[in-house]
Amino acid sequence: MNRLWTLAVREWRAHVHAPGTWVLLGLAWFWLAAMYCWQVLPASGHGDIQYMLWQGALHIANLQILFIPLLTMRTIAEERRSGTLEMLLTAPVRDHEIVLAKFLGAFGVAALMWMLLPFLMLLAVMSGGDPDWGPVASATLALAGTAGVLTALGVLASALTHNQLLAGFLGLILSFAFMYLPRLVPSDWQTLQEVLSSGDLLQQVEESARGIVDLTNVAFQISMTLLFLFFATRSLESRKWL
Amino acid sequence: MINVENLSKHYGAFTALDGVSFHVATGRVVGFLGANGAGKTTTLRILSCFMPPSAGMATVGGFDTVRASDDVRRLIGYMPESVPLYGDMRVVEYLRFRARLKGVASDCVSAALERVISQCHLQEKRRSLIRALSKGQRQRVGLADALIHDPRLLILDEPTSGLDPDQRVEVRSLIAALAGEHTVLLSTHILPEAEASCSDVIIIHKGRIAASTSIAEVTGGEQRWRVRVADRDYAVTTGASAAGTLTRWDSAEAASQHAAREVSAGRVLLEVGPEKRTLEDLFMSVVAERIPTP
Ligand SMILES: Nc1ncnc2c1ncn2[C@@H]1O[C@H](COP(=O)(O)OP(=O)(O)OP(=O)(O)O)[C@@H](O)[C@H]1O
Ligand SMILES: [Mg+2]
Repeated sequence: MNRLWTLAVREWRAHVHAPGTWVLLGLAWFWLAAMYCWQVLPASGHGDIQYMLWQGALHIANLQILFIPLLTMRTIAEERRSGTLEMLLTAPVRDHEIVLAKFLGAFGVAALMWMLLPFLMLLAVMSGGDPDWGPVASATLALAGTAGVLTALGVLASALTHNQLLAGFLGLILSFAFMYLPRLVPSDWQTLQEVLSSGDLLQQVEESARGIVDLTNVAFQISMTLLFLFFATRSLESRKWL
Repeated sequence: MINVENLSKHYGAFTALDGVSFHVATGRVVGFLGANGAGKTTTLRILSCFMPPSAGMATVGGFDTVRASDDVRRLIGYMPESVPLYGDMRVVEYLRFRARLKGVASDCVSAALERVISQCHLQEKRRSLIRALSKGQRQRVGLADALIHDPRLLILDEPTSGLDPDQRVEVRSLIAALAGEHTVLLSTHILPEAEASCSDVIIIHKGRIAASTSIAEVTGGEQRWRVRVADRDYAVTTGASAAGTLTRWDSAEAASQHAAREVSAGRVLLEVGPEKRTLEDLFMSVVAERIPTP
């Protein structure tokens, strides 16, 4: 536990000290603010809190698809390229601890995205609205769950290669596919669509913004996160069989 | 301390190690020698649990490097060849991180930090970003990292490469000071250095062990005699800097006969005497397919 904490803190600090993180975050925040001020607020008639919450959550979810793979791309790929993985793996550390620490460190930074939702709602309060905080909380939670899945997927992409750009590219493709596949299936493939829609993360975010808390959704998000982290660990272990 | 049996490692179709076996006793300082590509780094990486062997087994302190790799890694202080470090961390910050990772008790971390910083002469650079360090300074941070948990076994892959002569002597004396309580396995290309700081040597050649012996045995073996005769245009007034022609003889008898012949032919004798066998002789006889002897 101690080692995991040490590793995760080092990981988190590496993200925080990297200028790239802040450039990305700045762009994402700017985009979000712009969308909010010029699109969501006017469309809501400056009063429809429900609409603001729903749109805010969707915008953040979509931004996460871009932001998180770019955040996680260097986590393992760069350690492989620079050789620091050798230092890490020859210390008494387990592979899954490394992967979990990479996840936690990046997730801690990704929180700067999904935590924005309550702040956006505070903006609504300041402009005279009176939001229902239950749906705000459940939507924030759903965004956090989505961020978890995407972070795990990004770490997995990073574990598959030693080129961080390739990892970023792969992460973006996988994230887009995972988030949008359920919506891209033609409607006449009904069974496939039904199966996939139960794993539609965007829909889960939308539902939670309406105040619906579905524990199976939470379970789905957690199990996907763990599954991707498991694959990432396997991929790290694969060096042993080369 | 280290027991290696029939270790093999294949990279794809390429065989880097082919049935390597050797033994390192506790408290020894062992030099691991070999030409480029001989398989030194590969062996050390297997011992440090970075990768498993393709066949065979290695135990460190009685623990198997594959099945009990956690225990092995706790015992070892390992310094990889290229000394990869996190450039975005400061020296103390990095060493503290490594100490925690290696399970140094939190109330001992600061003391351990001060110990390795002074052992590796990092006082002036303790607050520097690692990416701003020179190669040799980085090397010393890597060494400090290997020492921080006071491991019983040190595995150092070319610990003095990139160091200035001054620091080389320092590292050598540091290793000498560690000997006895600690076991050290270090790879190097610099034979005089191995001769000076190691108690034993293992020579690996093309993935196989070519020799495994103690330094005392190498240098204490049968003696040879050398005779150096000045070249024709040698003038006594120019001093002893002339190279001359060197010949080696198996007995004092043969050497003195040769010297007498040369003197009677009117040449100047520069040197006659016993020759200590060096590690270089052994290394060359094992590694170079055959060197022409004068
Ligand atoms: N990851 C790898 N993939 C493929 N071949 C490798 C790999 N690592 C090493 N080799 C090959 O294995 C052989 C042994 O390499 P190794 O690094 O152990 O040599 P070395 O004795 O440490 O050499 P040097 O003195 O140059 O450091 C070399 O021929 C090298 O090309
Ligand atoms: Mg090497």
